[in-house]
Amino acid sequence: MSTKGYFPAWVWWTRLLAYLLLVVVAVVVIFPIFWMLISSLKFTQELFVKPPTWIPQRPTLSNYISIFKDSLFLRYFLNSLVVSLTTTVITIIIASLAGYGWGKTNFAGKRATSLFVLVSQMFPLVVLVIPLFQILRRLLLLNTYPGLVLAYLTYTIPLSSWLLKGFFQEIPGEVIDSARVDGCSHLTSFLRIALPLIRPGIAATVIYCFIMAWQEFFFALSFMFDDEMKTLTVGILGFMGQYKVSWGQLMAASFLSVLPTAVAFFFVQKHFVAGLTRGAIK
Amino acid sequence: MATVRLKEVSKVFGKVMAVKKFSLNIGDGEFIILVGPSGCGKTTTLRSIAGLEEVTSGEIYIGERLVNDVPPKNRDIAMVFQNYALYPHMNVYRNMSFGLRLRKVPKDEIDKIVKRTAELLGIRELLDRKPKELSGGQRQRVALGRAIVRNPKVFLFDEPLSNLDAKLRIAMRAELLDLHTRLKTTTIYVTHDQLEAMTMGDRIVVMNEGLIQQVDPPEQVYNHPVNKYVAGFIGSPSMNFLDCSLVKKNGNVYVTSKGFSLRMPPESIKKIEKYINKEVVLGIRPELLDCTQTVKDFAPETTFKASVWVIEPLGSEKLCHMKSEDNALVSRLDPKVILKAGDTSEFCVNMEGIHIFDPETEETVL
Repeated sequence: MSTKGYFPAWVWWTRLLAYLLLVVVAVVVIFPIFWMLISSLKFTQELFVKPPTWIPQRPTLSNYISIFKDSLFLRYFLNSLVVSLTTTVITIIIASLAGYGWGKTNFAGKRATSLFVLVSQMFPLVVLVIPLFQILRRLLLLNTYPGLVLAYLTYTIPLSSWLLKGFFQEIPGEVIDSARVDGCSHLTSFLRIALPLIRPGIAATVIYCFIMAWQEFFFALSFMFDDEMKTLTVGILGFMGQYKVSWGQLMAASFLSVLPTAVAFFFVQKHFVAGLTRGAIK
Repeated sequence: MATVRLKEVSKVFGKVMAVKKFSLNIGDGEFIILVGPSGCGKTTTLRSIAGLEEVTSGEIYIGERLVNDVPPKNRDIAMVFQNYALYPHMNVYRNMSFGLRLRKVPKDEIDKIVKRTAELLGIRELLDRKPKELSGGQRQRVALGRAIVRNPKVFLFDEPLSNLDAKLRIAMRAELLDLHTRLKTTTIYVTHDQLEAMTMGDRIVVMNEGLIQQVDPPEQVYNHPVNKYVAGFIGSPSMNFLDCSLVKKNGNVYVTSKGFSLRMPPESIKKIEKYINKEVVLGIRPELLDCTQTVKDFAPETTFKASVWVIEPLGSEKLCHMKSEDNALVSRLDPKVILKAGDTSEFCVNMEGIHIFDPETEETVL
């Protein structure tokens, strides 16, 4: 008996259509990365061959060697890593506390404060650049890690708090009450009961914060002047000179800059599990 | 173990007064039941004792200590919630030992206490499981175990059995009672189930709309309700209420309505004298209403005719819903009585147990 017999034809057709659509989307997403990788392995001459070659005819790592040897790529990479990780860690600490406060406790002004924070996110980033520049200058934080981190926190904390607030609200109130009767203070019930239960939320927020900080360009361009302080996004721009674009190096640097996000995702994805609070209540 | 004392405790949520001047002294080792319909303030009262709600006014004492400003963790109480509220990321052992670990009890002692309690509750083999791998009854036991291991001064139960199926509920009811006789911990138990209230408590606190209606042992509440509300709430099926008037005829007093006139027992006349020729509410428990088929020795002039509307045979008894003129009544009959829907039969009332309520104040007159 064929499995086809279990479903009417239209089910098969809609499934086929769905898969086709998924394939199209996947190609659209993956192709630029694929092209980056391919191009980074070619010599300059081959880059401009028409029609373009799909597989490098003479694969080379020269582009990679050159970005490490002839540019500050490693320094950019380190800058980005420091800024992104710091932003992520600080955001998670502050946003989870805020989210817990808004999601699981009662205090006067709970609604007003949480709404205010959300509304503050409605300004476009461009509007923030000049005031932020002024503030950072007065704080003597321009061209420093803390300065850029502070700038990133202004938009990662509000959204992350709201994201985590939603996760905290999913925890049944009685579970927290129960912990408080069992001997927890607000802080210990947050740390030992609430936080472990929103692991998927934390994972999602980590990814969000890391990507936001890692791929940010505008603030990094505005607040970091010295070549040694530039982040990857701005640093890569250096491969595009006024008269000449070093495509091979640009592609190699771009490809390497994608890797940390992929690695971060790989480590965090196992926490994306549903139903952690199952079994708490009837 | 400790006494619990509430002194004029009130709790306001926005514009709603959930608990109104609640005063109660609970004795050491007593099993107190707070009972009432949903929204009567019983859970709020319990949560206030736990410290999970701040009271608007009044004082709460556990033992001799005023606990109004003491956080829940320092009140030395344990609470079991209606939906169990287990910690889903911990296994049964860690759920039960959580409170002890927070109190820095030595590890080997925790182990001993948890295992002994698990034995007591018959969940010894479940210690490694996560809550999601347990059935409702097992979760309930774990929640109970989590409360017991702490050996608190006071147990607070918030409708702990209401999520269980009927059979399990009866079994757990007995187990809870057995546990209480063994542990003798002061227990405050909230329920909306008047059957649980009747069978479990040393005393019942009947609440309605934030106010205490009556505080008495179960039988007292059942046999001598202070008002029509308590009379109607306690007992299943609930008491029959009939709008009547009292009239005096030939030296006897009759409670009459359309379709019947019942002679009041002479010894009751003194209490109801000032209601003669006035409207009253007559209250008859279903078991005081019987069919003359099986009862022969009823007092004179205590019968009336009614038509049977529905019969519910329950095995050990038959519930008979009947109509007499405008009045609908329920009676609890001997299963041997032969009646079917549509029959008209004669019923007698055991007038010794009836109640008379003031229609205005709803307070008990007799």
